[in-house]
Amino acid sequence: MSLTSTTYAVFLAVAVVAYGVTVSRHRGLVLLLASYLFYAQFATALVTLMLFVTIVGFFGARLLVQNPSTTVLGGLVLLTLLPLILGKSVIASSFIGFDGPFTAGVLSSGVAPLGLSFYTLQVVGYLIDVARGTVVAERSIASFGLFVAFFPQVLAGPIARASRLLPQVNTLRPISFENVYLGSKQILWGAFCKVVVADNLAAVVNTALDEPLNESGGSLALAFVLFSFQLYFDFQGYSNMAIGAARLFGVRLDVNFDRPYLAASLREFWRRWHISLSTWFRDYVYVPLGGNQRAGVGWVTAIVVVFLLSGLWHGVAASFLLWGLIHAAGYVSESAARRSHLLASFGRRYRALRMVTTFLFVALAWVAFRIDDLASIGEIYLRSFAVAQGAGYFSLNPVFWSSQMVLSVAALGSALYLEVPQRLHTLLHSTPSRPKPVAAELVFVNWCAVSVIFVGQQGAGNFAYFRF
Amino acid sequence: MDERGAGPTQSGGGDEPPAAIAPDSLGSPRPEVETGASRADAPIERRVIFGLATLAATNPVVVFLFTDSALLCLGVPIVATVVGQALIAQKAATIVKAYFFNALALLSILVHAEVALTYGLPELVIENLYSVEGGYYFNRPLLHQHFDSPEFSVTYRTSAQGYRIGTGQEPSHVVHRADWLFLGDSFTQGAQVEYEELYTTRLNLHFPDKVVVNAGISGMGIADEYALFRSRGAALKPALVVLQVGNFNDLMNVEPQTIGIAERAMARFAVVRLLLTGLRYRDPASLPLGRWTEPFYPDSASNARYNVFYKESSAGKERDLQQFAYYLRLLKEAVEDSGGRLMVLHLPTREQVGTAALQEVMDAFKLSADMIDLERPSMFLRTLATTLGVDYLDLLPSFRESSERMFFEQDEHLTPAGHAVMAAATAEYLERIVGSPQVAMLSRELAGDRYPSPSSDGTQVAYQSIRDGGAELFVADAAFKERRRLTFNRVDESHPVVSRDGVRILFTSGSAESQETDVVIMNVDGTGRRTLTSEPDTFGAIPTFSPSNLQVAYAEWTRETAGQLSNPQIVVLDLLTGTKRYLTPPGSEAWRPVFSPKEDEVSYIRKLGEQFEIFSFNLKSGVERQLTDTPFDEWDPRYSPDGSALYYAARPDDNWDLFMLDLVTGSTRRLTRSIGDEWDPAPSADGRELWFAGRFGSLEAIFRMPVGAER
Repeated sequence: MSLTSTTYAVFLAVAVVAYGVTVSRHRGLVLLLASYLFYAQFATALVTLMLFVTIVGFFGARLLVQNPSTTVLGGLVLLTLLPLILGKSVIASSFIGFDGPFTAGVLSSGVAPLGLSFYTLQVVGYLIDVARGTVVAERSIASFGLFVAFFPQVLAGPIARASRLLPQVNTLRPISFENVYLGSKQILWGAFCKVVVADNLAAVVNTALDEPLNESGGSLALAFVLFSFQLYFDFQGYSNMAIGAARLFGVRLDVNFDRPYLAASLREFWRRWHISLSTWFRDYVYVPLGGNQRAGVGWVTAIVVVFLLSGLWHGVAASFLLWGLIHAAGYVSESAARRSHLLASFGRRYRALRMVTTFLFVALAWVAFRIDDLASIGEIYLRSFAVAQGAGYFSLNPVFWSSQMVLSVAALGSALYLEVPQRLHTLLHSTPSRPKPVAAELVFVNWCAVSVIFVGQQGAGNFAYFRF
Repeated sequence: MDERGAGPTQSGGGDEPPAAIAPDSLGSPRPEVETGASRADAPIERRVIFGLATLAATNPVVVFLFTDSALLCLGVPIVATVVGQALIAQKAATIVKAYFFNALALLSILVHAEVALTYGLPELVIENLYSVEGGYYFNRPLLHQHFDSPEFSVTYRTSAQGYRIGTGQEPSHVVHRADWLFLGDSFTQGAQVEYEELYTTRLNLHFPDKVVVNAGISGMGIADEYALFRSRGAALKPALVVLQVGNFNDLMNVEPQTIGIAERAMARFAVVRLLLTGLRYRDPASLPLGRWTEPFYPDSASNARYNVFYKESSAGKERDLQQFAYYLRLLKEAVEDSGGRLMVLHLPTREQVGTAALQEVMDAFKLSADMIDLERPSMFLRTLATTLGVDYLDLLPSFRESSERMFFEQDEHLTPAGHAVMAAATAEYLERIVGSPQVAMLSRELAGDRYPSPSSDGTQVAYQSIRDGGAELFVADAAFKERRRLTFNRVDESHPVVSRDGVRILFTSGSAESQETDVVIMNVDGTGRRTLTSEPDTFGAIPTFSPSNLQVAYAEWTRETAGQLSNPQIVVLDLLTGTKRYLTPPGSEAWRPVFSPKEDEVSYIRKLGEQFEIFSFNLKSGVERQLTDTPFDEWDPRYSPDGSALYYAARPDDNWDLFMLDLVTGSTRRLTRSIGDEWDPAPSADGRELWFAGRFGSLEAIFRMPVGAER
């Protein structure tokens, strides 16, 4: 079941109806059942892992209440992380493949420890919060099970905080038209970002990068700029679909992206990109390492550790480590520059220039997400920068002149048009009872729905309709 | 709105007015929206405006042009107006009103665009070849297309059921049962070769008494073939289902194809096809080698993921193979449930067969010999077939042995020579399962040949065949090598019989539908044409010569005073004297007389109650004798050369089969047991062979089979 399939839409509709007709105290059970059915759909074998993590988290928290020692916490955290560590190291493949986090190729492999990276961190965060005393240990195993397995976000986040999600699963609200309407609208927007923007960009990027070492520097640079948008809209699209699906049941999940490519520095970028993960690392790794209190070598160490772990979390591979190192190096240098008197004044001006620089830096780092061997990555960097090689640099792959490119750029342009000046925020939150200009709302819904249906990449190309 | 805890990033100032992106000319009910929630009664102007807008959107003329239905062209505007007006009168539900008129506007735009395109710019319409059935595509019925490419030019016709047929075949003919059903993709569909060159047609000509149905459709994978078998195939109750599997792309992405709203819209709307075709389907010229090279890809990741020849595997590839095994088991069970057996016919790719094609791909995609294993799919499928107990034929050895050019250059499909190799290898395998074919097809064209009538010396045979939409008369030698057309006109001519001396020919002339046919005699060279039923209001059909050539017999009927036609009676006409003798009573429907070799008896069919039975009339004693008495129809009696037996067709089941009645002992023997129809039995001069006309699926022709020595 792909999240952009009709099957998933039917599943959601059935879940909403079942939830709606159930008495309040059993609503959680309906969602729990739906969540396990959903997860088992993708990976029946992984249900045991999920049960393991759930049990460790639930009983571990009670143990921590009685005996809140660092040793106990450390042991429990390691035990919770065990399936993830084993899964990641045994299957040394990237989780966020170049197709994005939830395409059929990745999800249906049946071997990748699907969702494990996300709900494991969620449970680890919960245990630490319980030990810190900021969250009360959950008393109902069903509620806790739903906290771990909640289907809208189980596959790829957003990684929820216990303090936000647990109270909500314990007081599930009845179905409301407003929630269903807003949730559906957000799912539609997410699907637009995924199948229209990201997947159409992917068609261009994948063609251009079929044989990256045969491409000119210009083609590579352009492909990686587009790949950066592909990756963003893919994951952002998924996150919106997750947040929208939760909203159908009145559950609010935190936003995962805040227009990250508008960041004017790496520090800002990491506050805007995959927020649920970066804040998780901030609160549960960086702060315990003393990163916020230390300076000099200690601080640098904390930063490097956080970024390397983040790289490994994406996949146990040299390329992901490289990606982590690039970001760590950039982050540390940027911080040093900020402290230097000369650059500090610059740092407050020329925002547009700094935005472009930050974006290009991030885009270059993404190369390691798309290409897995280090030698090729090096070659790609060399070529992308070799503008001086003359006209050869600009001999672009023909795909950049194709109708697919026109479609991709049009889709990307419309998404940026909505998102950059925050028009989207108004559109996504205009409710049926307090409609903002209805015309705008209808144009938005029509645009998304018609594009998803007709130019979404889902399933296209596998049937050669007019081809013999 | 209240995404808290999202970090320090939620920037303010997000609520700028989205009116900036709302075009004023949308035609959506914006004024309605701002006031609708508070008013009970909509003002009359608003009702009128929305009423007119609804009517404009559901313009009856456009609806009629789109649907061709008088009912809908009135019904749609009325229903839309009623619903629209009812919604406007509602107090609340602003959003519902908005979405209703929005949906109406979108549909209206689509339908107007469709009508404008199909009527205004028909040259831009991309012909739609497929319709969506359940979860798969199938040929649209009654297609008549020409496919031209630099490499081939073929005619593509389909029957009313959507099965492909040859140029001379009748599209309205419906196949209810099949002996062999072929499932497959474009290689079985074979739209690059003529129908007669298809491997399934060649097989059918080799085993002509089998009803062979080709249900191959471009792009199908095993999941779709399973769906097709369940919805279409099982009802045909095939004894053998042949699943053609190609290494080209059948072992990758093993899952049902996605047929969503867009695909259905493409099948229905020419305007959607026009807009989407270019975006969705790649021109092979744009591919790396300018041709399809599946399953070979330029990059190692795709090869590991999809390419079954590529040694490095991946979870996705393993899963595809598992899925394939899963669907093959489902298909096998479904086939067995419907009473058949399954056979896998495994087709190699061009790269497995020709070293040049392989070298080209390996050079272009930087593959070395140790990275690929060309035998792997065969190993996989053979093992799987053995495990499941499914028949398996690997065509790879036959293709490697042949020196013909079996694949087109740019197109990846089979040439006529490729289909011939495939048919020959499959025929050899099938003979081991079902035995050598007993029935041979004599007709050389698929043109509805019927009524074979061998001359008494066995050197020539007269028959009827369809030309230019009507039946015409032909004479051929015994092997059907030399065929001579006797009649050239717009009138149907049928049921030919050649006189014993081979000089004259007797036949029915006129359209069977009009029921006003005549019996005509003429010289075999086309001269001396004379109508025997020349009296006014007298008609006749299905004549026969007596062995002496002095008499003819046929069925005769007349128009009665009230204008109605009488039931046909059997009449014997003396060609010398012109005298007639009626053998059957008036009022009883009788047809198809034949003289016994000794000319002392005439046999014919006569209706008793609801059924035809065979009778014989002794010309000396004048006594009629009933020869058969069964609860089903008998037709087409014909004496054996020595007069000791009578061959005939009968319908004990739902189809016609051939029988032999021993006139000495009175016992009957069933000669055929097919699911097709066998008619018009005619023994050869030595009595060792039986000629007959038959219809096996779409194959309608004249056949020959051994019947053993006469008693």
